[in-house]
Amino acid sequence: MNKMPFEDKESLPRAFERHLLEQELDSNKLDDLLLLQESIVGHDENIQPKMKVALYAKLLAGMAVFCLALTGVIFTAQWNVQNNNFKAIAGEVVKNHLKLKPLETQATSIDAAREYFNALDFYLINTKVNEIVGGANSLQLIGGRYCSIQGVTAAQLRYRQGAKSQTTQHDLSTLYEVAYIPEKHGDIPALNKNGAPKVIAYKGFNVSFWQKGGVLFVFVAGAVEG
Amino acid sequence: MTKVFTFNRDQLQDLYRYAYALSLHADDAYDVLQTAIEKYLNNQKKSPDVIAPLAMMRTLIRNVYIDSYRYKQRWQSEPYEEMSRYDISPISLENCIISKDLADKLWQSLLPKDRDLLYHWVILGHSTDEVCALCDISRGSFLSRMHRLRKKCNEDNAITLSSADKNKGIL
Repeated sequence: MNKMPFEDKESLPRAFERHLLEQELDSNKLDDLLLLQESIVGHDENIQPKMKVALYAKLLAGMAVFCLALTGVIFTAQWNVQNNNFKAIAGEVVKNHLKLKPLETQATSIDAAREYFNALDFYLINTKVNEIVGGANSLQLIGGRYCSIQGVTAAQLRYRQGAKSQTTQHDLSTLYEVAYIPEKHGDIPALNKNGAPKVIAYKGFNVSFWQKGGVLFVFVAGAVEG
Repeated sequence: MTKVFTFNRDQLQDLYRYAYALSLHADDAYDVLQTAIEKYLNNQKKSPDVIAPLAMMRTLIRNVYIDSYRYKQRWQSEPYEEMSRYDISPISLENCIISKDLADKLWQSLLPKDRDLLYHWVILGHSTDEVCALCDISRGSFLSRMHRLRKKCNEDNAITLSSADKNKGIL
């Protein structure tokens, strides 16, 4: 039987609407989608604020680690610079100490030495070298000469251990006194609360550093034993 | 505390129909919807302050559809011809009468973009301007498309009518 053309006619919008409404997801697929939503949102549905807190915590932790690292880097850099300063001075004084250049004055007391060292731009201090670095042996001043540390004019005082007439290099020590200029010499500590200086071992010698009253003292003792 | 908005069954059906309006294919529509839901919820977990979740989902569905089926060229680019002459007189499709069989064929022959426009206009009941804004299309282009749709509908009707007349005559 022929179908009449206007039998199931409808307007274009209604036709479109009906056509779409005929389309339906079956309940299995709907369930799948609901499950999918749950699996994504899941139990952490209310996790948002926590996540934010966690994010901030991570950010803070990150910043803390960064600051710590930066401090570490700066500290290490400073420590390196400081260490390099000590090494530079130690290198210079040990070199001088090994040369044992002739003494320019035979002064056996600081007062006598002061008379000779009249071209220094600082006052030669009578430091208690025996107490500070002498240890068991008493140190006897046997003379001195001009020299320089890091380009700054210094007094070089030679000491002998004990009152022996025969001396070997091992028995000789050198004390350097120089006007303390932090920009050139670096940050040199004063004697610590036990009255001990900063000591580093350099090329087989113990090199002691301390500063007092604007004067830097560097002492090179006889070779390291053992 | 902001709760992530999820869709109920009715909303899922509506969104599925939108995906179907674009793809005209049940399985494709389901795939597109599924992908869009995943994208939506993953976005929601990061920033849950969405004002219109359904509108956002429709945008996601359209984007996923375009992304997925671009290579199949189902989202065809438009020839320039339609830009040449705009008929921007007000349009009503209500007086455009069509038979059920013809309508089913007509949908297949429409471009996905036309079906997208129809969905927003007819199903969601947006005004012309709203449809243009939502579907990112100029007003002239939109009206031109709808005029063309009506023309096509009338042409098809005429063919159907004339063949029906012929049949009548023979009988």
